[in-house]
Amino acid sequence: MSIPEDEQFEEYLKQFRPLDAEPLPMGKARGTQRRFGFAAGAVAAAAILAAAVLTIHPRPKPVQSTHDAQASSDAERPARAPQQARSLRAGVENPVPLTVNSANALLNQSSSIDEVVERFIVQSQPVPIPKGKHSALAVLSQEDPT
Amino acid sequence: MHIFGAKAGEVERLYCEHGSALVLFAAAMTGERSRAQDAVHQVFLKLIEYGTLRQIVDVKAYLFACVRNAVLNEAKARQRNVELDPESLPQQAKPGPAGDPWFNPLNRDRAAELDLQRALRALPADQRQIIVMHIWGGLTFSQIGDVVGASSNTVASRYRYALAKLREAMCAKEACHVNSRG
Repeated sequence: MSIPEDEQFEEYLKQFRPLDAEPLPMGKARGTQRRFGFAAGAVAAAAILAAAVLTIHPRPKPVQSTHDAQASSDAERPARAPQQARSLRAGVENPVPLTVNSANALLNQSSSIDEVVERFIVQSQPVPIPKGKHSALAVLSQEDPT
Repeated sequence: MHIFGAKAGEVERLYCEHGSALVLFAAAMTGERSRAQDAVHQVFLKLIEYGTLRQIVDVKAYLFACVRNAVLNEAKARQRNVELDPESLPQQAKPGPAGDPWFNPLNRDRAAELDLQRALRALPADQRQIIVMHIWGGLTFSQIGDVVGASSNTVASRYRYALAKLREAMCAKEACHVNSRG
């Protein structure tokens, strides 16, 4: 019995062909890709929807003082209506300059954004000047007769 | 030596080209063809999903390394989850009876295939892997060295030792099956 040389034995071994591999389950891979695509699409759609909602309804976060926090409870809301009407009238009669604090106070006192905007419009009307006094802006804006 | 992206079609072509050798390699590690097939599928599906062949230079060696890692990871997971069964461990496979066939039965008698399979199973795991990678995978000793983390000289030495044992086992089995065929 002769032992074949290494090369001959290698050639002999190579005659044995490995069994064919089973086909790749491509459906699984495509399913994974589809799931990933669907998830990415869902996240993108949710982000767009959230951005759209925030753009259409910007809702500034109110700064609540202790006084405002007390006034912000829902139980007190109906009782605040006459007070709001009074403050609205007071705002028209004694207009105050618009500041961040006053805007926050207005937001806290008002029941809706529209009401705040309406009050801003009312407050932005020209301030009546007492008799005997002149508006510096009006004086400066006059043309020099000379 | 070339670089290319891992499109699904390209991965499928690689699977057709190397799939059978990779499954044989994984079977030589696990001792079970079903586990071997799962490991190879896992590797190729990940390639399709993540396309990680873009930066790979030696794709064939990379595929063997991926399959090897997949099998080792699966074996580790089994050891964590199941009571250890010495027969199921890749490092201790195997002189027992051959289970699933590893080779194509066409044009060849089943006895010779079983002899070969049994002789392969009797080899130590590292030598068995080297034999499969070199003979049926077509990897050079240098490529095998990259896969198993050894020098090409070490790989060559192990290969020759394994080949001698394989030949001895197969020739001892019958009245030198090899000579009658070769």
